[in-house]
Amino acid sequence: MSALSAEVVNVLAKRRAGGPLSLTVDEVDKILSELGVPLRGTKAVPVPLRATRIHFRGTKWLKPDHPDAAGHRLVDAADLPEWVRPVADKNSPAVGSVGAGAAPEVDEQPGPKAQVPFQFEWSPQPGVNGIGSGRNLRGKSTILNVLMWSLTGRCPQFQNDVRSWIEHVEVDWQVGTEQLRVGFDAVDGVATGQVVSVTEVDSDTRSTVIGQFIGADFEGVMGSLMMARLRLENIPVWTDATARVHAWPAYSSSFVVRANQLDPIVGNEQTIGVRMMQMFIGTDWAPVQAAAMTARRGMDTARATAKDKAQAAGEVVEASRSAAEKHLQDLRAKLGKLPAATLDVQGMFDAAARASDLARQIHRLEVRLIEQASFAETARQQLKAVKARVHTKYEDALAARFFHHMRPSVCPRCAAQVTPERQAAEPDKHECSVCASELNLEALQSDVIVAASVPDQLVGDLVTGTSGGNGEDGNAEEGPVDEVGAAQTAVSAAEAAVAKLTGKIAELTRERGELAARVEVGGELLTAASERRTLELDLARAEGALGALTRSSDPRTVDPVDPVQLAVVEAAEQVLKKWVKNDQDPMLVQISADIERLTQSFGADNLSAFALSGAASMALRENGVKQIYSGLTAGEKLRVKIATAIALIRHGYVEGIGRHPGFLVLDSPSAEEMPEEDLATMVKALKGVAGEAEMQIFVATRNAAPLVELLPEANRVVAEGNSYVW
Amino acid sequence: MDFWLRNPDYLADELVSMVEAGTADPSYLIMARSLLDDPEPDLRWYPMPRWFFGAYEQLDDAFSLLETYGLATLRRTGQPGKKSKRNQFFLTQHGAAAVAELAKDPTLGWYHQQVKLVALVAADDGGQALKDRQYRQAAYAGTELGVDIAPIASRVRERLDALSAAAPESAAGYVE
Repeated sequence: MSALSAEVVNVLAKRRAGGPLSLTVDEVDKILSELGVPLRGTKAVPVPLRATRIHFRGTKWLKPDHPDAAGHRLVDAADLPEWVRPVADKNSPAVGSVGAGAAPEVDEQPGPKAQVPFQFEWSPQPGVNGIGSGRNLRGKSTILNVLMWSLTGRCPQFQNDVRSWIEHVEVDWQVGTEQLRVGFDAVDGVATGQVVSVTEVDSDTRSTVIGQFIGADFEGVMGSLMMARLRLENIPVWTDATARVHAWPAYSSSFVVRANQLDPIVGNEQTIGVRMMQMFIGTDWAPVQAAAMTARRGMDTARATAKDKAQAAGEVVEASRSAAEKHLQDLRAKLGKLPAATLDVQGMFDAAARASDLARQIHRLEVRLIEQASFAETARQQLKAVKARVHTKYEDALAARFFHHMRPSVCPRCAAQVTPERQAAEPDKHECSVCASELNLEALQSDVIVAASVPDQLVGDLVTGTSGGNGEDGNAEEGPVDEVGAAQTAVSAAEAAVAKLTGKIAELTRERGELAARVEVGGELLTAASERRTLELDLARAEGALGALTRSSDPRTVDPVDPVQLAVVEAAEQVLKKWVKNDQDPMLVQISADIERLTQSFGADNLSAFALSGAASMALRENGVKQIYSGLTAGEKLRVKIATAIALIRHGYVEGIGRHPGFLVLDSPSAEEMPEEDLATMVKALKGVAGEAEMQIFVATRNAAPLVELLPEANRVVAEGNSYVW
Repeated sequence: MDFWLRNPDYLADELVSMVEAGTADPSYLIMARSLLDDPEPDLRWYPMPRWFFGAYEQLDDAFSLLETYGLATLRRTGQPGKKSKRNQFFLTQHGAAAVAELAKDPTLGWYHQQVKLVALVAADDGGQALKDRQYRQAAYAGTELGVDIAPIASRVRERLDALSAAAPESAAGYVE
């Protein structure tokens, strides 16, 4: 039974959204444990961390003309260690840390180098330790870097050649009551070594290896050793949809304040400032709250993912169902459009046979029609010819009558005059009055003038024609009229026959058309019958498919999150948030007051009204005007950041809570416009703080004077003038 | 001229051409259509064969009849039967009186009317010019020697229809 669970049960019993939820404390205990939420607040007892000895050695590879190279052995370029040899394309990295190394001049020229061995040994003291040099780039930061390297396991930002110079490191750490020795050999920043627990029993030193590492393992080994010993816990953070765990590197970064790395106010990771605050301010429930929040966010993510999936699946089913419904409607509409009439197959075949028969009859009639039309045309031509002939005869007769009353006057050949004598000679001398030919006497008696030389046959015709033509005009015209009439009758008969045939053909064609239409309808009915059968089958299938889709319930969101678990964790989060806040708020007020006091003592007396929030944000006033941390100048930020770090440590120690191990590194604070007197003030303030709160603070600075003045000799490593720290 | 008298379709075609060219009044189109459609031309179609100088038939027998009765007279130059240069035909006073009498006859008067049309079509053209005009007809020009020249009635009817369709508009424009 935990106090947290008991409070959660209370909250759930009064829950409004979703109604009250009745759970026993044991059930809540079980749920929270399953979710990895600790049931009890961890009593935040700080474990002190102190560096007691720092040792490193190696070889400086200097140019032969370097002042320190004098008297040392020269090594040909070819014989240099591989990582020392200058490489044409290997640029000297722009190093962030200031003053990293004793001989920073990079010599990329091939050639012999002086082999200058070095080693450094120092036993820092509790309280404030100072590392100073008269000038920059004299190896101050190297000491701090080696210190942090041995603590974090992560090779820091050495200057390139310094990293390649260091060959062995040994740092003794006092962690609580335990003495740890981190020792490793280094090759161009790659460490191979071990962590040894050193115990002294009756002035006998015993070593127990508690961790070994090669290269990248170093960081993990140091993390697991230190986190457990310093009672620090992982900081789980949800970024996007995955949980990331910030651990040892994140914590250890908060031990260091670098003049060139001033944001955020606590540590170096903006996103986890709030969690680190919770850790360092040390309320009991802070880690529990973090765990509860992480559990709840995990559930939120799982639920969101499931919801997305369900939504996608639901859309697919809905689309399928509407498609099935549409298909069904289409099929019904098609069925409805099919002709309803039943099929008379026999009638259809009879009609087809009759139509075929009619087509043959029509063909025969058409052949006859062509013949008859030809005949009719012939008859018409004949009628025309007969009429023309009759007309010509008629005109001939008219012309004959016209010329009849005229007398020939000249010979048409020679134009000789037809004289009255010659005319008189015709009946007397029986000579032609025109050509004087002898006339046929017999014919002359019948008043027909014709030459004696004309054949008898023609003469006979003429005589007969003259006598007949004059006497029987009516009869004479009968023949031709009959001829015309006969031709006319023939034409009429032929045309009538044509008309009759045409009519018959039209009638049969119409009948055949009707039959063909009937056959066509029958064919359509036949097709429709087949189509109906197919459609009915399709319809049955579609109805089945739609039924299946309708029966299957819509895919509901399968909630991967147990609502009870969620309710519990939400309630726990709510409870813990309140508890943490209740614990934190009074502390934050005190810490803010500390920060203000320290900042002002560091020389920034224009800043006031500090208010550090639980979310690691800082509100303050600059000359009475509202300001925030990020709006400050670099020099102000540095002072505030150092003040905050010290205030957090001091508070934890004074109150006996919090987890800050009381270890702080300040790298080159004077680089940021901090005058010597302010630095002296700050060192003094630090000394005061360290005195009351048992801290170990390292200050590396170019202004060595305050260190010399204020710190005991054991507490400082100072290189005067142009000399090097190591 | 004899050819036009005996082939009314060719005569109608000449009339259509004249109306088309604007040298004859559009009212002659009606005349041209009657030449094609009336039954008389059908009865009086006397085709002529084509010889070297166009449609040709011996005139002597026909003309001798006129000359015998003193209705017309022929004057020849050059050597008859061998190298005839020029034939001139004259209508006598007596002939003119006979024509006037003939024109009164309801049946034979047709020829009088027809001759007036031929005279209109021929106008003042000489023999050579008339022959050239007749040769412009493809059917006429394409006829083999010694074969009757084919009728062109259907083609003339098409021309006439086209021109009649256009004529009312031009007539309307003229009235305004």
